[in-house]
Amino acid sequence: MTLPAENVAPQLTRNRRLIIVIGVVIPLLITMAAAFVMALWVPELPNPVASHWGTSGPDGYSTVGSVIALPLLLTLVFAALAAFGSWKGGPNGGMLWAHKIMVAASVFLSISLSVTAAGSLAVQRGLDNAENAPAIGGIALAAFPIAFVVAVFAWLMLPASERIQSTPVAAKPIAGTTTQRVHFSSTTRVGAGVLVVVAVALLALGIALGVQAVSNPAELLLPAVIGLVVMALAVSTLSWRVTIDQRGLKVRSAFGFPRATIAPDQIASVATVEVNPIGEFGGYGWRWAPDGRSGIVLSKGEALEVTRTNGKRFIVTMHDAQLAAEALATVAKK
Amino acid sequence: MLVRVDPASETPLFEQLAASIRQSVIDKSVTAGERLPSARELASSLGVNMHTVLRAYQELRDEGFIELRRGRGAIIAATAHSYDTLADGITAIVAEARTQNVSLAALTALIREEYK
Repeated sequence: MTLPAENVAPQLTRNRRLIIVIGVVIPLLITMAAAFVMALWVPELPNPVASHWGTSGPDGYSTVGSVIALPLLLTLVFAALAAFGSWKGGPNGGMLWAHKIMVAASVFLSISLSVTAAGSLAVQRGLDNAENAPAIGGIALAAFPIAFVVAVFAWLMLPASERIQSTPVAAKPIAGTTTQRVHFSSTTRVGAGVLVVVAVALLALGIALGVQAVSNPAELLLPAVIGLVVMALAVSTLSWRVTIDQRGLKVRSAFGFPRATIAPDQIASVATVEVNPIGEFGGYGWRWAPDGRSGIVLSKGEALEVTRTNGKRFIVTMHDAQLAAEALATVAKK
Repeated sequence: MLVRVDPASETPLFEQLAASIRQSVIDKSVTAGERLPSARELASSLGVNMHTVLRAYQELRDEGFIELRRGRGAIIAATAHSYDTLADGITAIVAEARTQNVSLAALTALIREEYK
């Protein structure tokens, strides 16, 4: 987005204009244009129209109105979410990459939904019965790359992401004799806020599986397996046991999987660092940041940061990160 | 919680272990109810005998710092956090001993005498 040269509004105001234009107005205009085109086709469409396709043709039907309204409704909800979520900006008034992702995703969602909905109706024009509707796999496949390319353009129009990474503070080994051995252990877990969000999400997933079990038990197995694995992983990664001794750093989630170990000879340096989960890692759990860091991100604040000999950095948020870093520095003799 | 031992030191290993865990409780780097590593885990982690760890744990249990429960391992006792006033008193006594040039051996002898 080019701004007039005389525009001297503060950065946050300019960013908010971009959020509104790219994240809300453009997605809504796209979905409204698609809705308008689809509305023009209504006289030529069967009633009801096919709205869901199985492996052997259409297997779900609904009114034209709901096919037209759904992309509008979803885009409206997500655009509002993106605008609210990114409104505050980063701590220095810039846009965090997590905010940019939400704004670009709003564009992606509006285009992929609109193209899929319009495409599914386009193939049904002139049909008397929706049961004869041809497959739309090709349209769905085409919709995602188109939406992705436009979303990338949207991303490029947004300002560079604000870097809020704090400077790591190198840890000193614990003073003592060279023959001393140390053992550090601690438990680190998510805060109450994250716990509530996870509980709500898991409840929703459980309800969705329950509905599937009642309405379509034949196709339950795959969603049930995936759903239960996701639930188990989500619950397991809420709490981690951190152990540091002569064998290095070991992090183990509540159920024992996932887990990770870094041996002392793989450690180049140990430090403590302040971490902002949303701003730097885009959320909570076992995370990868765009700057190449990965780690266990459970809370805002202090974290242990280990730089491996191959340059990769691993972090673990914990309340006693300082002590952990000193213990690990002792073990790694760094 | 941080546990430190030095096999080269003259102090017995179980005493070093107990002192280290006791210190963690007193400086509040562990809280009541927190689970300690199992004796087997701590022993293999520090490269010491499991009975050495068990002996340290038993000593700490006798002192009321930890609770040992079959099947649940060792946890920091709820009664363990009442050393604040004592710690303040000791700080004052040690400061007083320093100003009067009283040695650590003499001070501990005085405390031992008073404790009888």
